[in-house]
Amino acid sequence: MNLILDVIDAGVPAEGNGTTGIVIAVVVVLAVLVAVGAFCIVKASKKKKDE
Amino acid sequence: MKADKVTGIGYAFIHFAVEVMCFSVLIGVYNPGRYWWALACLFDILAFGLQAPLGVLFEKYNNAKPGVWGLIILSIGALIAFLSNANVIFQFASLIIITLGNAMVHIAGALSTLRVSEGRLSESAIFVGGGSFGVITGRLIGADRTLWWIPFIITAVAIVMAIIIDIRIKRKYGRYAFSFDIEPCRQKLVNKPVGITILILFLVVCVRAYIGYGLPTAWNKTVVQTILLFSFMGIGKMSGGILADIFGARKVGVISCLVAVPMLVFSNNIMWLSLLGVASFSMTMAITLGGLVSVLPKHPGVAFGVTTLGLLMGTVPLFFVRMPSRSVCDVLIVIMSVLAAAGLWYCIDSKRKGEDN
Repeated sequence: MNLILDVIDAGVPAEGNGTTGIVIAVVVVLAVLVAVGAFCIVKASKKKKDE
Repeated sequence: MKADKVTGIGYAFIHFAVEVMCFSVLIGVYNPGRYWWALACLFDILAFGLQAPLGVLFEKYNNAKPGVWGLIILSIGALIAFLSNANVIFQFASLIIITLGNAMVHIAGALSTLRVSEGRLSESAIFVGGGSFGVITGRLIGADRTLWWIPFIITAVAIVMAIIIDIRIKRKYGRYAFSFDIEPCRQKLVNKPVGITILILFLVVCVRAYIGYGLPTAWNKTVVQTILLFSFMGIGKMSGGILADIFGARKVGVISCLVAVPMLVFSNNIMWLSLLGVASFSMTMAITLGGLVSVLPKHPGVAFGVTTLGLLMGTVPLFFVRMPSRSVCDVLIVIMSVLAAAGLWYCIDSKRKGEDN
C-alpha cells in the first residue's frame, strides 16, 4: 500500500528516475501480462459455458 | 464441517513470509536507487500479472508443488538481490525471479485453501490476510540492512510448513487432490451468468485496490501508525471471510462496502476512523474470490488470477498519475464504493453462507 505512495511521493518517473525507455518497457510488460491474463480468463469462462 | 484452520493459518504464515522477503528486498536493496520507480512498478505488475497464467499452469500440472518451489525460487531471487551490490542488471534479474516465486506461492495458497474450504470462505480469507502483516514486517526489516538474514529464516520455516500442508492435503483428499477437473471447488455463492459475474467482481477488486492503495492518510506519520494501518487491513481481509461464513457473503460484502464510505471520507486526520474504514473495505477480498470460484469451479487458479489482475489494474494507475485532491478523492470513494456494493448485491446469492451453515 504505502510502497506506492512512497514511490509517488518520490516524484517519479517525472523527475528522472525513470527514463522514457523504462516507462515504455514497463507499459509493454503490463500490456503483455494483461493480455495473457485476459486470454486465460476468457478461455476458462468459455470452457465453463460449454459445459 | 469445521474450518481447516491448519491450512488457512499455515498459508497465512507462508504468505507473511513471502511478503517479508519481497518488501525487505524492495525497501532494503532497491530503494533508494536510480531505478526505484521502475523496480517498484515492475514488481507490482509482475507479482500480480503473472498469477492468472501461473494459475492455468498449475491447474494443469497439479502435482508440481508451486508453494514449495515458489519459496525456493523467491529465496534465490532475494539472495541475488542482496548480493547485487547496486548492479542494475542483477537487480532487474532478481526482481523477475522474486516476482515469479511470489506469484507461485500465491497460487499455491489459493489452490490449497480453496481445496480444503468445502465451500467456506474462512480459509482463503485467513491466507490472504496474512500478507498485510508481511508487508509491514518486510518494510521494517528492509530499513535495517543488517537484518537481511531474518527473511531467510522465516522463509525456511515457511518451506517446511508448505511441505507439511501439501502432504496433509494429499493424505486427506488423495493423490488427485489438486485435480480440480475431477473434483471442482464446492463454492456456490453465485447464480448469475459467468461473463458478467467475472466482469463485475473484477471491477469490484479494481475499485478496492485503487481506493485502498491510493487513499491519502494524513494521520499516518509514525512507524506505529503504519503498523496499525497494515494490521487493520489484514484483520479486515481475514474477518471478511469468517463473517461471510457466519452471516452470509452478500450481507457482509454489501454492508462492509457501504459502512466503509463515511469512515474513509471523514478520516483523513482521524486515525481510528480511517483504520476501521480500511478494515471494513478490505472485507470484500475473500467474497470476491469466492464469487469468482463459484463461476469457475474447475479453475480456482484462474479465479484467483482474476482478483490479482483486478489488483494490478487498480494499482498501476497510481504509479503514473497521482491521486486527485482530497475532495475529488472523497467523491471517488463514495461513487466507487456504492457501485462496488451494488455489484456485490447483484452477483452474490443472498441465501448462501458457508457449506456447513
